[in-house]
Amino acid sequence: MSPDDLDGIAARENASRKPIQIRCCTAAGCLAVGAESVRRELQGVLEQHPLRDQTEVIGVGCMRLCGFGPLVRRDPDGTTFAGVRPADAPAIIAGQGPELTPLDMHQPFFRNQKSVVLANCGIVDPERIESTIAAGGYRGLRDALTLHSPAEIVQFVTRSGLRGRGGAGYPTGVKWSIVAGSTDPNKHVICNADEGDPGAFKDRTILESDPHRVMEGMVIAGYATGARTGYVYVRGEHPLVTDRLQKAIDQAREFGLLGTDILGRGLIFDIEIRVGAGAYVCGEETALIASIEGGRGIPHPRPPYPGKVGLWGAPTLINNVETYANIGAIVENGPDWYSAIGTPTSRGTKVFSVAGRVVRTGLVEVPMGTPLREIVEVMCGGAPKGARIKAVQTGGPAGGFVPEPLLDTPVDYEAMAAIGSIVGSGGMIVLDETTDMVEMARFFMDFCRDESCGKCIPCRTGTVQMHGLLERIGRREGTRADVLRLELLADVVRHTSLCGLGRSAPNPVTSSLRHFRGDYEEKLRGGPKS
Amino acid sequence: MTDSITNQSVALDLGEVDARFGSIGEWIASQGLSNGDLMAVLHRTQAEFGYLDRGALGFVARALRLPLSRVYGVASFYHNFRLTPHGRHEIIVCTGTACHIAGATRLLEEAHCRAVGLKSVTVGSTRCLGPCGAAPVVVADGELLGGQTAESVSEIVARARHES
Repeated sequence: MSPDDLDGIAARENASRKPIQIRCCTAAGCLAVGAESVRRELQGVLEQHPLRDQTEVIGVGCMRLCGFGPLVRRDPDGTTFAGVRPADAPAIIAGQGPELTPLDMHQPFFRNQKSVVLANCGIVDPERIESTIAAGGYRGLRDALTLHSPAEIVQFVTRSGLRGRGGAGYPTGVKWSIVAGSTDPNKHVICNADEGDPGAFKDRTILESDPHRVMEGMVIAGYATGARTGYVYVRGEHPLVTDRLQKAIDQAREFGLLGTDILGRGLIFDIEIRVGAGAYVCGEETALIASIEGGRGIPHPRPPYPGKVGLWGAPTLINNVETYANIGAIVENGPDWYSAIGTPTSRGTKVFSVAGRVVRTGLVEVPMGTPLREIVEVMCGGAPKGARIKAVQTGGPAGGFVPEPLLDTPVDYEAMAAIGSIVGSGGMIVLDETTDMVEMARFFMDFCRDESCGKCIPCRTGTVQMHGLLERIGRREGTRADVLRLELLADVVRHTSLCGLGRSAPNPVTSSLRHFRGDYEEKLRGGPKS
Repeated sequence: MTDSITNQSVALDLGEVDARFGSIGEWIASQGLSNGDLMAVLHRTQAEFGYLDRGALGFVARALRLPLSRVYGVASFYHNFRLTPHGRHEIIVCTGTACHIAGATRLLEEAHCRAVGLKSVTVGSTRCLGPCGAAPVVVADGELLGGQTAESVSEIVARARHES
């Protein structure tokens, strides 16, 4: 296929659309509450319906308001219905019915979003490449191959100011130029889709809803760096991601968007899936590489960084799902367009998954620098039943608790670090006033204790000891000396662990002690004054 | 790479190990898999047999020309590889943060309690599955179920027990 064929495919796809489209969410959040039976019923009712010649039912990805599923939208007017039951099918197809109340699409949850990564989520059918191409998919790749040299693409990524969306926030352009600068003919591109933070679901949702956007970013990465093979490392717990991604890869090969002559420009690049098997530490890049090589997911000390010595010893570019999902748009619209969004140190948008004690659970994409309060209170509606928010937990087990008075902090990498948390991979858990922070710290420490790979001693034994101390304090058997021991241990584990898992495991403890010491004191044996 | 295997070596190894792994051996040969594909081979073997016993691990080790210790090391490292048989029905409670806040611990206790002594029902837990909007979430025989309660979980166990 040639670059111009993309327009032909898009035109044919748009011409074949029926005037009324009923889009049914088929991402995991809605599937868990019965979206599949809703879709089947819509399809079944439509077959007998007078509107059948003008109407089609399309399975799409996430419509963002995950806590109110199953979600169904009736286009072209965009009327969206929440909590749809199979019995609602006739009314939705007809476009009216007494028991149907459409969602207010002008509420801040929808209105305040800025879509770059999620632009096609909930619009395209993730299982049909034509649908993605019609929505502008692979235009960034076409522009890259027809208008720019590989060096220019690396320049674009650098100038855009994009930073790693997996948590650490390392400048993406620096990584790209290291791999591009290597003369080794054998290089690899890896997409880290091992989204293991409990309560985080943005990578899973992006891949379930718009897999081609991520693949497009990887192919552009292959072009820019000279790598010919790409791997997506998917969690074993996300079978739907694996299924949809495999379909997307097969279709991209068929359409000449992967393979040995991409878009007729002679570019060689292919993508394979590697499925994990339940190990949180594999989200760490060196452990992930060890796992792809068929070993235990045990991290290595860095340097050397994967950019120099990575998969099978070759230079390897490894980025997060959301990072790759930004690339096509940056190439298509230019780095200046991208860097105009966000703050001076944190450019672009960020996708967050918001869950916990919150009125509107779901997926939010906002410009970097948006205050946390705007996200959890204005957009997501705060805690349910009029309860007060006590804290927002960001960054999963590696992150920290942001207390309510600090919710005006903007979400950018530096501002979050300054208050003892991290932007992290994008999971936000809202905790209301009933939450016991010692118990939350224990929950995360239990997680880290269980997921520690055991290679280095501070992490392996430190997490066990910290968990024991938190349990004891939780049982009201702890003393002031136990809190001191906890602080000392947290310090040792942070400074002496080998990889990010151990180094950040104490964060929930230190941040809860910093902001909620009262929760600990109140539990100490003999009361706060002992 | 010297570790890539041929049809011939698989056929030879099969004779020595166990005929029940014939289909896996053919798949390994047809895909041209090598020792770097250990994870994929373990996934496939478990999918076919339900769990990885000593014989299965031994077969994989020979087929990929790896030491058994290495294969066992990998299989025991990852939570999702099972070294012991499971019941016909599997009920998994998600214990991610959103589900934890929504009472997953109680659901897990309830499921364990109801399934005591039932060989056909295995109760387990998993780290976050991702559909946090539907918390707390349970996976019953592969089906994802949101908004669960202690009562609904106890019903799921009862149904599984009935079907056994």
